[in-house]
Amino acid sequence: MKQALAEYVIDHSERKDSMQIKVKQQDNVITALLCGELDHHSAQETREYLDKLIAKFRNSDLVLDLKNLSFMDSSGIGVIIGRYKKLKSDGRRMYVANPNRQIDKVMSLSGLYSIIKKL
Amino acid sequence: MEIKNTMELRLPSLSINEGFARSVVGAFATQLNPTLEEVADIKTAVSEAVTNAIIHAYPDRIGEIVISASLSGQTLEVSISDKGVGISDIEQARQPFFSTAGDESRSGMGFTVMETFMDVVTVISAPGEGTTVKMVKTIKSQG
Repeated sequence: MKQALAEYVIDHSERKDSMQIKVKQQDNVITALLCGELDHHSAQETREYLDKLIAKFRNSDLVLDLKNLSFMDSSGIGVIIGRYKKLKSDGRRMYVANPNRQIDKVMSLSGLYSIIKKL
Repeated sequence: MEIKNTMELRLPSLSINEGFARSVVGAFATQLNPTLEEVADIKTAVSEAVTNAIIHAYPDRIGEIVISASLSGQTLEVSISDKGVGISDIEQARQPFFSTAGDESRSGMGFTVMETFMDVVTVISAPGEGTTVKMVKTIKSQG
């Protein structure tokens, strides 16, 4: 996961909450770069936005790049597992990449890595 | 004589206050010279407790959440209180993956995160009266 920020082509910057999502789609892989904090407050918009992406790029797998996500609590686990289930029912895959130490702890604790691979 | 420092924060149960609440408690705890990881643990645990109050304590209205914290020696004690619906079965609520929120807004891991990231978590609740979550963490390392 060494893509420069400039490569992300869709900037979802109209979001009003504490999250911004930048997206790149290439070779049947959607990479969504989450920027900010993912908590219950930002979860709903994040969930809706990721669902739109999943629907738009029908044959693509999804990589959530978390390198610019500074905070996530268990509300984020709900968002990630929900999207994973959606993709899996379509035979598509989902990955997470570059979580910071705090986010890595929350994801390990919840058993997320037993179903979703960290790149 | 040891000086005890205290703070109190009163907020309406609006989700936009989740980030503010965890940041305030995290900043208050820095007086104990914690590591970045310890501050992250505290912020995450507070975020879980405040989010529970917003979603579960006041499902149909905006109510007040009181966050109070004290520092004594190397120990932080923080309590998050509401006067909402209360929890009828605390043991069940604390089980991993248990959630009454059916719309995947939560993963059922809130109490598990609090218990893992803090040293002691105590839940006092009565249906119709509200809930208080008390959490204690001693800062071991000098960051």
